[in-house]
Order: sequence, then C-alpha cells, then structure tokens
Amino acid sequence: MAEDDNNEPWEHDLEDPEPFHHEASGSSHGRGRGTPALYGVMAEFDNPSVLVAAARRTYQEGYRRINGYSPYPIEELSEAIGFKGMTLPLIVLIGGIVGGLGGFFMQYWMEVINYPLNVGGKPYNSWPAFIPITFECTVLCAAFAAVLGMLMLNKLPQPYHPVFNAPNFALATRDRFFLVIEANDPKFIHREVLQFMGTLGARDVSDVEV
Amino acid sequence: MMALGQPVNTIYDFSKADRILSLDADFLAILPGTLRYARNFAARRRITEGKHEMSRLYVIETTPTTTGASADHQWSVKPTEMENAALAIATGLGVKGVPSAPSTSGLEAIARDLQQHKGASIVIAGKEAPPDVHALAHAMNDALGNVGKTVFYTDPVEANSVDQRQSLQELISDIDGGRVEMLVIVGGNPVYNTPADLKLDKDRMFKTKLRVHLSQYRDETSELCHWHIPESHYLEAWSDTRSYDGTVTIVQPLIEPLYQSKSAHELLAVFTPQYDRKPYDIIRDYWQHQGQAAGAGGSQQQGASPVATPSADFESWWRKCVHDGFVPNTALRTRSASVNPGGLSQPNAGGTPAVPGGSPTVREGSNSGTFELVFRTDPTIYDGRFANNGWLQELPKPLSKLTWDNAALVSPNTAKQLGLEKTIGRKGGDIYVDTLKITYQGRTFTDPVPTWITPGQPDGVITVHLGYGRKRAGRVGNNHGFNAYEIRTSDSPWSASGVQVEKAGVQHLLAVTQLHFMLEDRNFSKEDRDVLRSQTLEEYLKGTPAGETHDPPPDDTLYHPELFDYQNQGNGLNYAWGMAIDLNNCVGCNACTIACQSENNIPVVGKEQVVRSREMHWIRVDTYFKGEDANNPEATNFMPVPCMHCENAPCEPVCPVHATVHSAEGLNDMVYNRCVGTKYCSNNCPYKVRRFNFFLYQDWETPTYQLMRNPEVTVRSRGVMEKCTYCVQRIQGAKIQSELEGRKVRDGEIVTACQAVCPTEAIVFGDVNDPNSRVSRLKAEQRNYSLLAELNTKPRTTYLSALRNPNPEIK
Amino acid sequence: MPIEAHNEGPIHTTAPVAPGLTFASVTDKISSIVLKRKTPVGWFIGFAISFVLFQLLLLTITKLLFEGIGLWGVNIPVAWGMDILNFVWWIGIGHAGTLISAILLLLRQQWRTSINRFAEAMTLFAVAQAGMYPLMHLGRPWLAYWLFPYPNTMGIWPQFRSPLMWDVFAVSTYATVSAIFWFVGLIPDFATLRDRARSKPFQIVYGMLAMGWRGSARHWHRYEMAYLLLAGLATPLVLSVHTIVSLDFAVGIIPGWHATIFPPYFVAGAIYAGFAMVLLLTIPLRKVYGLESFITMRHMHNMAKVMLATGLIVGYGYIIEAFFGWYSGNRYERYMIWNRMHGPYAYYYWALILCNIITPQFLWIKKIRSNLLVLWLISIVVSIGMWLERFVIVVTSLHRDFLPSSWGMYQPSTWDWTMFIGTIGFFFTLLFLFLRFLPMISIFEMRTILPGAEVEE
Repeated sequence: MAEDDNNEPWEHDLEDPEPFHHEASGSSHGRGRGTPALYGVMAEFDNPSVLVAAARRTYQEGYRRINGYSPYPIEELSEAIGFKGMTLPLIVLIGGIVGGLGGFFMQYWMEVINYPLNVGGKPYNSWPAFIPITFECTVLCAAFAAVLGMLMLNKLPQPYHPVFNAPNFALATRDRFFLVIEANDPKFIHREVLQFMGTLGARDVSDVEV
Repeated sequence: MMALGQPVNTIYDFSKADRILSLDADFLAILPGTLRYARNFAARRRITEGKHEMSRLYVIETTPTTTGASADHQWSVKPTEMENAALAIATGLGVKGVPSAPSTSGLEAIARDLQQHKGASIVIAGKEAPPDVHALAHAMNDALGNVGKTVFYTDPVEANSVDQRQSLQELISDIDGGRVEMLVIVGGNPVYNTPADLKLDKDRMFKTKLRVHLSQYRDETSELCHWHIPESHYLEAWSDTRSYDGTVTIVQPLIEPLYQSKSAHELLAVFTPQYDRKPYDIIRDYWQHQGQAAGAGGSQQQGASPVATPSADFESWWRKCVHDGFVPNTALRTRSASVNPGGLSQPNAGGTPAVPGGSPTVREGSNSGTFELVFRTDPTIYDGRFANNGWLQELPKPLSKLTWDNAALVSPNTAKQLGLEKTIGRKGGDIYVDTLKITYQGRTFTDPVPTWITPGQPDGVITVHLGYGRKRAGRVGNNHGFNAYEIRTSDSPWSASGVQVEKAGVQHLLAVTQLHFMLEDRNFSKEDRDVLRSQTLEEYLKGTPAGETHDPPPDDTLYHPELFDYQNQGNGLNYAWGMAIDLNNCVGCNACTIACQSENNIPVVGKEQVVRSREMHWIRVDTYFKGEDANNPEATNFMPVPCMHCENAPCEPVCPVHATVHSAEGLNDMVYNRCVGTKYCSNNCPYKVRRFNFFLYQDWETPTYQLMRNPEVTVRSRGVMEKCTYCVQRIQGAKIQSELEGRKVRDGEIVTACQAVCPTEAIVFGDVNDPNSRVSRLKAEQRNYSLLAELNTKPRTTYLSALRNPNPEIK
Repeated sequence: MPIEAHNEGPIHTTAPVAPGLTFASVTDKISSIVLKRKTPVGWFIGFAISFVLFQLLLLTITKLLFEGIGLWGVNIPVAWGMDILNFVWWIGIGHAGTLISAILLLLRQQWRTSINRFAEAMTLFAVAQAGMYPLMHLGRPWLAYWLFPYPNTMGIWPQFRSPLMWDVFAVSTYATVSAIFWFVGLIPDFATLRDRARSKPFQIVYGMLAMGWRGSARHWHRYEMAYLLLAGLATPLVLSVHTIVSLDFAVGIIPGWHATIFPPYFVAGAIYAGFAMVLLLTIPLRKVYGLESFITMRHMHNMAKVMLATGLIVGYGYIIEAFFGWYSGNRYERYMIWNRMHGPYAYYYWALILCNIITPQFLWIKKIRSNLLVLWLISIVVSIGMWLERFVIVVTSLHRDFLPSSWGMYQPSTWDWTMFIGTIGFFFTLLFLFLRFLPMISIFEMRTILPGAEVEE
C-alpha cells in the first residue's frame, strides 16, 4: 500500500502479524468483532539502563499509567516512572508509636492501676523496668506495620495479574526487564503506543490481555 | 553407784549454775532431761536486757558434740585419758582419797574457777563415761557443795532398777542352758542391738521353744520370732511414764489405733487373771491405788508425794491429771547420798590428758597402731529405733551434715596417718570417702565403714554411731550405714581400746547437705566473711562491735524512702512480723528443722536426691568452724537460716508471674499455685533459703500420710518453689481468733513451729511494730545484726551475735 | 579480563562477587540447587543423621514433661545449668544472622549479599532451639502461657519487672521480626522459583508463597523501603535482645552476675559466636554446593575479621571483669574471680581463656585467614569457647555465692546432654530442609551487586 512506504519496519497492521508484534493471544474472547480486552502494551528489554531511559522518555511523553518490571529493585526506575511512595514510612512510624505507647501503658495499667502488688519494695510505677518491653513492643508493632503495610499497599497477595500474560514475562524474574503502558492511561491510543514503544530500544513489544 | 554405794538418779538444775564442767556429757543433746537442761542452760547464758553475766561451760569430751560446740573451752581427749583429766581436776578441788594424776595449767585453772563458784557449779559426767569418771564427778560436786543446790539425787526413775548388763547376761546363760521355753520380748529390738558378746542371735533364739515379740515394726527380732504382735504407738494407747525427775505423766491416746495393734499393757494383761483388761482401766486403777497406798505410807520406793485419796475426789483429780499432762508433785524426792571416793580404782595407764594451756594438742598418732573406739548413739536416729523414720534419716547430723548414713569419725591427723581421703563430688551433696576395716576382739563390721574427717576429733580415736546397718527396718531404713553393734561389747559399751584399724579398698558415697564449714575459702583468705558474728563477753560489755557495720544508710535509695510504710499500713492493726534468732542460745540440735518439716508438710527426698543437693528443709542449721585452720577449729557455731522475709526481697522482682510478692504485714508470700518454676527467685536469694520440687517428692499414695499432713498447709506438687512462710497458717489462725474476740493479737500468741520446738528459746517471732514485744526488744539489742546487710535486702529475720565467756587464765 | 575467581583469588576487588556472573547464571545456579528433581545422596545422609539426633530432643522433652526437671543436673544452689546456658548460646548464635542481614545492609556492605539469606535462616533455626529452653526449663511448662499478659479468671497479670518477662517480649519479637524479615526477603525469590519450577505441586507452593510477586517497580520501591525499615528496626532489636538476655544475669545480685559490662559484652559475644557458626557452616557448604564464586575468599576474610574484632571485645570483657573484681575491694567479688581461676571449675575458665582470647589472635595473620581448614577449626574452637563462657558465667557464679554453707556443685546429667544434642540435631534438620527447598543465597540481591546491574546514565 502506498502508506506502507512510510512505515517503519516495526510498524504493523492488525491484519498482518509480523514477528515483532504479538497479538493479544489466548482466550477466544478477544476474537471477533470487538477488540479483546487489553490491559496494556509491554516492551521487553535486556538491560536496566535501556529500561530506565525508556521509562524516562515514556514519562516525558506524558504517559502516567506506566510501570516497570525487573528481577531486582532499580532505584532509578521508580523515579523515572514518577513514583514517590512515602506512605509506608508514615505507617511504620505510627505503628511504632502505637506499639510503644501501648506497651508502656499496658504495663502501667496492669502494675499500677489494675492490680498493684508490692514486689520487692519497688515502686508500682517501675518505669525504668518497663522500658525493655516498651522498646520491644515498639519494634514489633513497627515491624508488623512495615510488612503488612507494604503488602497492603502493594495489594499483595494477588495471585493473578494481567502482566503474567505477557510473553516471556517469566523472565522478569531472571534477566529481562519490562515496561508497560496501561490501556487505561488517558493518553493511551493503541496504535500510537505501539509505535512509541517501538522507538525505545526494546527486544520486543506486545499487547497484554487482561 | 560406785561412788554412792546405791543406785541413784542424778538430776541437775542448770538455772543456778554459773560454772559447768562436762566430762563427756552431751547434756544439751542426749540424757534424760536434756530439754530442761538446755532451757535452763540457755537462760544462764542469755545476755539481753542489760544483763552482763553469763555462765561458763568447760567440756572435756572424747568426740566433738554440740554441747562441746557451745562450750567456752572444749578439749577432745582419748577415752583412756578422760579419767586422768577428771582426777587432776578432782585433786585440784581437794577431793580426798583419790589417786593422783598429772595436771596441766588448763586443768588447774578449771579447778580454781569451780572453787570460786561453790554451790553454783555443776560437774556432770556423761552416761557414756566409765564408772570411775562418774564417781569422780560425784565426788567433785560433793566437794564443791553443789549437792542440794544444783545437783540433786533421787531414787532411780525406773520402777525396778537393775544392773541391766547382769540381767542380760543371766538371760543369755539361761537361754544357752536351755532353760528358756518361752521368750516374750516387749518392745525393743534385741536381735539387732544386744552387744556382740551377749548377742541374742539366731542360734540363741532358736534355742527357745516359743518366741513372741511386741514391736512397732516387723524388725530383725520379729523375723526370728514365732509371733510378731504389732505394737500400738504411744499416741494410740493409754499408758503412763516418768520424766527425768520422776514426774509422772499420763499418756493419753490421740486417735484410735490405725491398725490392729496392741499396747504393752494389753499384752502383759494376757499373763494375768484379768487377761482382757483395757489399758485405760489398768492405768486408772493403778493410780487410784497409788493414792490409797501412798496414804498408807506405801511400799513404793519412788517416794511420790501423796495423791488425793478420797475416791470421790479421784475422778476430778484423774481428769485434771489427764488434761494437764502430768501428775503434780510426783517428782522424786531428793535425797542425800554420801560420796565415798575410796571406791575408785587406780587410774588407767592411759597417759597424760591432752589438756595443756588450752587448745587441743596435736598428738602423734597411736604408735602401737591400735586405736580407741568411741560408741555413741546417733544424733538423729538414736540407737536405731528411728531408722525407718525418713525425717530423721534425712535430718543432717549437726556437726557433719551427713544424712542417710553413719560414718567412722576420724581426726585429720588420723586420716593422714591412715591415708584417708575425702573427695567432693560434682553433683552438690556427694562426698566420696575411703572406708575402713575395723577389728576389735576378733570381730569386724560386715558393711563398709565410711570415714568422716572431723575437726576436733581426738587423734587415734574413732567414733562410730549406733543405729545403722539395719536389715529389717522398714521401707526406708534398710541398708544404710554399718551396724556398730556388731563389735560393741557389754563390758565396755561406750568405748573400746586396742582396736585394729586399716584402710579398706573400697570407696563409699555419702550424702551431705553442707560442703563447706569455714566462713571463707581458706585457700583464698584467712579472714572470715561477716556472716556469723561471735565475740567474747568481755568485748561485748566493752561495746566492741562484733562485726563490720554494713547497714546502708536509710536514705540510700533511688526510691522514695516512704515507698512502703510498714509502720502505717492504714488498716488499723499495723502488724509487721519479724523474727530474732539469738546465736548465743542456739545449741545446734536441729529440732527446728524437724518441727518445720512436720508443720509444713515438707517431703523427704531420699539419699540419692540429697546427693544432688535437693533436700527440702525450709530451715536449716548451718554449722561453721571458726579459726584459720579447718583441721583445728577454735570454735564451732550454729546458725539457723529460715527465710529472711526481706523488705527489699531480691527474689520478688525477678519472678515473671507474681508468684512471690510482699504482704502488707511484711511477709514474703510464696504463691504455690501461681509458680511456673523458673527458679530465678532461688538464684537471686543470697541466703539460698528457697527449695524447689524438682520431682514430685510428695507421696500421694500411702494412706497414713493423709493423716500425717497438716491440713492447714498446702501440699506442693512438682515444679513449684517453696520456702519458710513464718508459719503463715499460724499467723492467720491467730489473727482470725483475735478478730473474733475483737482484740489485737497478743505478743507470744503466734509461735512459729521452729520457735515452739526450740529448747533454748533461741528463735523469737512477733510484731516488730509493737515496741514492747519480745522480738522488738531483742532487735533493739546491741548484738542484733542483719545477715548480709550490705545487700540492702532489709531482712525481717535478724540475728543476735554469739557470745563466749572464756576464762582469761586459760590460753 | 576475568581473573581466576577461586580460593586464591584477589580479595580486594571491589565487586563482592567473582567476575563473569550474569543475571541468568546467578539465577540458574542458585535455583537449580532447589529445583533439581533428584536429591543428592549426601543430603539424605546428612538429613538422616540430623533427624535421628532430633529424636533425642523429642525423647528428652517427653521425659521431662512426665517426670520433671529433676532429670537434669540442676539443684539448689545451681538452679540454672545447661538449660539456661544453652539458651544463651543458641540465641547468641542467632544474632550473627541479623547482624549480617540488617546491620551490614545499613552500612552498605555489599559483601553481605551472598551470605545473608543463609545467615538469617541460621538465625531463625538457632532461635527456635533457644526458645525451647525457657519453656522446658520451667517446673511447670504447661503453664508457660501465664507469662503472657492475657485477661484471665485469676485477675492477675505477669510481673513486668522481671528480666524473664523482658525475655518473653524480646525473644518473641526477635523471632517474629527475624521470621518476617526473612520471609519478606524470600518473596521475590519465591517468584523466581515459581517461574522456574518444573513440577506442578512446586509451582503451586512457590506461587502461593510468592503471593503474586511480579517485580513491579512500584512494588520494588515499597519493598525496598520496607526492607530498609525492617533492617533499621532489626538493628536496635538485635542489640536489645542480647542485652535483655544478659540482664537475666545482670539484674541478679550474686557476684559474677551483677555487672554493668554484661550488655555490651554479651552482644559482642553473641556476634562473635554467631560469626563462628556462620563460618563453621559456610566453609563446607560453599565447597559442597560449588558456591565459591558467590561466597568468596573476601567473605571469609571479612567474617574472620569480624570474629577477631568481637573476640577482642569479649577478651576485654574478661579482663575488665577480672580487674574490677579485684579493684572493687568487695570480698565477694574478689572471691568470685579467684574461684573462677582456682576453684573446682578452674579448668573451664582457663579453657575459656584459651578458646576465646588466645585462639582468635591467630586471625591477625592473613595466611591463617586464608587457610580455610584452619579457619574452620578456629570457628569450632570459638563455638566451644562461647559455650564455656556461658558455663562459667552461669555455673561458677551460682555454685559459690555469699554464704559458704550453701556452696554446692553442678554436674550436667545425661538428659542435659541429650537435650543439647537434640537441639543440634533439630537445628541441622531444619538447615537441611532449608538447603533443599529454599534458595540459600538471595537471588535477587545477588543480581543487584553484579556489574551489569548498575544503571548507566
């Protein structure tokens, strides 16, 4: 076709599956008249530097509903996708304070108010002796807050997530790096996204079904 | 009898004695009347309320005893030397007609001191001492004018006083001659404890046609008899008996016999026409007739004072006697007896007594290789009759802290001579000792003879205790120790000479409750720890403190000083319980340990557990030897240690579950049902008074134990800690009673078990908030101190330091 | 380019891992140990021996429950013996794991990476052993729950001034935090294993444990934050736990216990013992599993240096204790030190000095640090030495305190030993299970320290 002359090699047509483009595969829901439910478009990379650069460019392009996937944490990546996430430290702090105050006042209430007993001539409010347990309660509650907070904020456990449908996604836990632009991003236009992601230096770009 | 020409009973009044000379007399522990003697002796030595005079006790003995430990001067001599010592003193007192014996300055000083206290002194010979020594003692008392003032003679207490040795000899020869057809043995255990030369052994027993034995246990004698009749315990039967001074007491049973047993009265009644007379009637009738006979100037040699005669009054008189526990005015009347010292034989060739200026000499060991032997009744199981009594088997012997065994006591020098060793094991109460082979007149012991190295034991003398080596004692009494009766002869039942002794190859394991008897590890320091304070009377009167003052100043605390104001509990009654223990009066009898065990349901754990340091006694009596040389102590002191009930108890804050807390009245409460058994409290107690139930030590099965136990005290199970509670059940009982009567508890109304049984009143309990209570007055004494005061535990149990009254002329 | 990365390799390379490794090779190497179908025979043998020894533990516990702690050698005055000293020994060992996981993370020591998973597992298993002792040493262990503050019909609460209560909270917190720290660290590796597993059951198990982890950057961000916060919490925690364990003794009034040096001295000692145990385990392990490129000579040297440093602190503790025992002038303190050196347990004391002060001095010498056999032997000696230290502290202080009449002795009984050997068996049983079913090196963390992991801008 005449327009094809201007297409880049990796541009593709829905009708012509080419090696670089993978259909949203799998279930039969997607075939037919309506487009299959699309979660987003995933690009697969070889190394972290390319991924981070790609993420930055994606963010600059104005995409916001984006995410990166890697086999190990990459500090620059979360910056690049514009994620700050300072909720967790606050949760931990509150957990610690609640634990500490709770621990101390538990001891205080039990030894001073509810059932005071003369134990070796020590004062009822033996606050120096209450310190170790107070400290431990602080640490315990803060630790629980950290873990539970992290899991809850991450919405884990979550056995199923659409990205698992991406091809080769199993390698996200080995040596591949991924970037996705979700379909519900306000700027998401499938064709444009596909095209844009083709410019990022990925090994592969594919649709991901929900 | 030798001295006086007739059998008499000698009794003493220690309450009037300022100077006492004991010639092998363990009058604070053995002897009839020992409780009264201890009480009176202690009264003469109590320095409280401004008194400044105390008696002085000299003890010359053939083996260390607790009486010797209480002495101001003590010497250990060989049995063969005892008579010479007595002779020397007697000469010094001017007793006429006695053979002469070499003297020393120490003995002369004793004689002088006694002379200065004519009529207020006592010379007492032990029951184990030979007749010559007794004779000398009588002569000395006579010369000192003590008779009728501190020494009294009465008719013998026994109803038929006979020469028991002669009587036994007659029986044995009758049996040997085949003249005995029926042998009825009422009580006792003659097959076990007859002397070796007059042994009622199996062959002799089988020579009689019919043998009957009445006894509480099916013992060695019962085994060889046709009939064993179980004997009722004295608490289950009516009887009567005389105390040491002749006072009659009616023995009233507390319960019906637990088993199908018979009392001696019932057995003997069978041999009379009225064969089925009840013991109650027998006793009652006897005393009714006594009254009538006495009125007729009766034939009784007892010389009892008249009893109320008219039969109409007899019933009320009888009831009063049964209720009170004694028959008034039945003490034997004192009588005169003239002393004839001419009856004394020449002294033994026993050599000069080892009594120089004062401290015992170190004599070279018996060069002929023979030793002298001393027989003594055991401090806890006596002559063996209590061998099956777990309490007494487990009660540590006062000077060795040995349990469940007897041992041959040897001096450190003798031990070196024989090559004997004692090794402390690693489990806590285990001591491995060498054993001996002892031969006397061709006889030897069948069981191994463990040795015990005893400081203060005379060189060349071995002491063995009777009562062990039993084979038919009962559940716990069998096969402990060796049987000293096997070589004991009737001609010299309490000592023997010419004894062959050599080390045997085998070692024996002994169970002891105390491993260290010095107040410091002598390898580390020559200075004693300030634990048991003792000083001379002179120093005390000068005001010299007996120890370092450690009490921290009252405001030496980070807390508010009025944190727990025991003076103002706000409940109106303000009791604050406390205890004072006068170390000057404790004679080391260990009765407090048994009383506590009885009162508080304390279990017996057995030899193997004592080996593991797990005995359960809540109060223990610590024995300490003073001086630098463990083998040659200068003094022996006793220290009863119950729970101190510290106001700042270190055991309380370390218990994770509130199982031990402090009551408003100052008691350290132990809550058994809350205890989970971490044992931190025991670790933190510096006095180590807490005891732990490592196993289930209580016997749930034996039915009679349910009767034995005190229902007012919890019986503890496995895994809980226990300790002295100041007899809280008695405190609560008294408080309840006082509340019912609308008054405060009176001083002396609450008597802890240990206090009740202490013969010398060394333990006093009461309300320290009451300045007039006995305990408060004792605590106000200068001699009062807290044990380990520098730890700031503020114990409610305090001690009064011991005093000694040495003769300045000696040493 | 890549230099020989074996035993004699350079130890001062900046990379804490041998060169030549890639994300893929690291992943495959570590996960293959877990996922291979055929279990090596050696593992079976090791597991079997450990399991048999573990049975001794179960037997001892049963007997204790039925008959009582009189089976042990404890008595009055030595009411705590092998039970408590083994408790402290095991807890001490556990602390190295937390130090490696948490403290070295905060100090940004990359060399921790290949050993922290294993060390943290060791911590958990050691704490599991330790935890049995406070329970079983009770006279009435079935009432142990009374140490927890729960509302009850008796209306009573535990007594919080007691160091044993502090222990309850400290050890529980430590066990819990270590467990969740360890588990959180495993989540990404569970994901790795889930994606690699060949059999369906394992896929499902690892999948559930991974909780759906997918490596999302947002998740990683929060994850790293949580991990860092946990490390920040675990650091004071580990210091506090052994401080509180030391206070079990320091709050007591007897000479030999009542010393303010105990908290730092015990914490240093714990790290010392823990590193000895880590060395003891990793030296054979890296050989058997072929992990020399992950656990390199640099690790060995660093761990040896930590051991030396903490050993010096421990040595200082002994010297100071002896000095102040004398300098205090307090006769009870003076006697306590004298008795340790000359009394019936003197052999233990001098063996202790040999094991804990003299032996680690060899670690100053680089050649010795490089000789893995000698290093391994030294770590055994140190482990024994730390056991002796607790013996000396617990037993010699208790057996002779203030009143000579209550001086006693202590000897462990057979059942003391069966319990101890049983815990060793249990420890190794758990360790073998860990080695078989879980990645012993943190895979995702290993990836972060590879050279290819750095983002070039």
